Amino acid sequence: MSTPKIRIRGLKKHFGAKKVLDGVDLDVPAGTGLVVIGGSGSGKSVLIKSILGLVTPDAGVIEIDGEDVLKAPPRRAAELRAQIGMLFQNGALFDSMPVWENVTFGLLAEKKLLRRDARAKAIEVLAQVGLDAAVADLSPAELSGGMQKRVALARAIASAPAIMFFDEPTTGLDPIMGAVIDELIIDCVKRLGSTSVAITHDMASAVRIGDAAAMLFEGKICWTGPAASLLTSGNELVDQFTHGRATGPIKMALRK
Amino acid sequence: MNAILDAIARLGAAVLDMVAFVGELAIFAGSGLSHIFRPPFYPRLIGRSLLEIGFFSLPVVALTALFTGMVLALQSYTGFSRFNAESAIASVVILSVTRELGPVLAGLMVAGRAGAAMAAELGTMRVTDQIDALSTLSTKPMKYLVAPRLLAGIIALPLLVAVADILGVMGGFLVATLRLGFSPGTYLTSSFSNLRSEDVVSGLIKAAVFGFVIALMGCFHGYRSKGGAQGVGAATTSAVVSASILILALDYVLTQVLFIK
Repeated sequence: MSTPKIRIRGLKKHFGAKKVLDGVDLDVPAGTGLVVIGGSGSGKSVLIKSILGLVTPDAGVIEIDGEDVLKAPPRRAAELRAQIGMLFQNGALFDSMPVWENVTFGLLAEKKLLRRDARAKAIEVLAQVGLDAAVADLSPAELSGGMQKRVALARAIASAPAIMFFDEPTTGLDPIMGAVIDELIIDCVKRLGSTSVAITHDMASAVRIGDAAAMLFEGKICWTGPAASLLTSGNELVDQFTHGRATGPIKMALRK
Repeated sequence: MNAILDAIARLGAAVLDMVAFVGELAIFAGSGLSHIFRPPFYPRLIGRSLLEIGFFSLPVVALTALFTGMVLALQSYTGFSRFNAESAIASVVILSVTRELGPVLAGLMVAGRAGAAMAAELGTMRVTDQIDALSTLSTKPMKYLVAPRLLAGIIALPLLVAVADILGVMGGFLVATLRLGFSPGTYLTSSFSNLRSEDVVSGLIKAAVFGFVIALMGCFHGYRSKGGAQGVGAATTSAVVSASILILALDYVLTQVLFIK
C-alpha cells in the first residue's frame, strides 16, 4: 500500500480545559480530495492549522509524504509545508497591496519569480480562475466577495502546490457563485494533480469537491466514507448534521 | 477562610499572568530584533514604515515642539523674573527641549499616531487571517511585519526629535525676542554657549529607545489581538497606553543612566 500524501495519527490539541482535537486519525491518499465536515467549534480549522504549522498540537503525528513535520527540523518542516496552498475562509487577501501582488506573493517570497515578471504571471493565473487582466491592478477592497474568493484561489494555486487546503470555500457566497467556485476548485485540483483537503458546512459543495469525507465530532473522526454518500451514510451523527436536524445525538447548546 | 484563600489564589493567578505577559513580550522583542539582522531584508517595507512613523508624524511633532518651546519661554520668564534670572531662560529652554521635552513629547505624539496605526493594521491582519496567510506563503510574519517596523521606529524617532529640538528652540526664540524683548543675538549666544553635544546626544539616545518601544508595543498588541473589531480596538488602546507609560518610565531610567552632574 502506497504512503498517503497526508497521514495523521493521534492528533491532540486542547485550549484551556477544552479538548478540541482528541486523537484524530486521518489518511489522505495522493491525488484525492478529502472533505472534513463537523459542527462549529468541532476543531476542523484547528486540524488544518495544525498541519500548516499555525497551531502546535499537544501530541500526535502529522506526516507529509511519510515525513513527520512535527519532528522534522524547522527548515525541513517548512519545506514540506511549502507544498501546501491554502484558500482561507474569508480570502485573507493582503489589503495593502494590489491583486497582482497578492497572487504572486508566495512566488516572490520563494524567489521563484522576478518582481518585473510578477504582474504578467499574476494575469496568467487570474485567467485560470476566470478573472480579467483588468482586475490585476485593483485593490482587494474593490472586489466583490466572489471575486475575492477567486483571487484567493489564484494566490493558492500560483505556485502549483502539491497539496491544497480549502477552508469553507463557499461560505458567504450565493449558491450560483458557490457552484462556480467549486467548479474552479475541481478544475484547479485536477489540472495540478494536487491532493486536497476541504472544510465545509455546505453539503452540496462537499459532495461536488470531495472524493472522500470525514466527520469530526467531539475531537475525533466519527465517520469516514465516500463524499458521494454523505447524505445517505446511515450514520446517526452524519445524518443529523448533513440533514440539519435540531434533534439527534448531537446536542447543541440552546440560547436562553 | 475560603475568601482569604480565594483572594490569594486570584492574586497568584494575576502575578502568573503578569509574568507570562512579560515573558511573551520579551520573547517577541528578542525575536523581532533578531530578525532585523537576518536575511531576507525588506527595504521597501522599511521605507514604508519610515514614511509612516517618521514623515507622516512630522507635522504633529513639529507643532508640539514649537508650542512647547514657546510656552516654556513664557513660563520660565514668569518664574525667573522673580529672581532676576531672566538671562537663564535661553539655556533652560534649549536644555529642556533637547534633553527632555523633545524626545518625550515626540515619543508620546508618535505613540498616539503611528503606534496606534501599527496596532490597528496588524490587529486587522490578525483577525482577518492575513498573518496566517503570510505564514502559508513562505514568509515569516515576524520578519515581514515586525522587524521593519522596529527598525523604522529606531531610526525615525531620533530624526523626528532632531527636528523637534530645532523647532522647540525656535519657539522659545520667537517668544523671547518678539514678546519678551530679548535681543536675538544675545538669546542665541546664551542658548548655545551652555549647550553640550551630550545634551543633544542623550536626547537622541532616548528617542531611539522610545522609537523601539512604540513600534514594539504597536506590533505586539496588534499581533496578538483577537476577537474581531472589538479586539482590534482593545489592542490599539493597549498599544498607545503601554507605549506612553513605558516612555515616561524609561525616560526616568535613561535620564538616570545618562545623568551628568
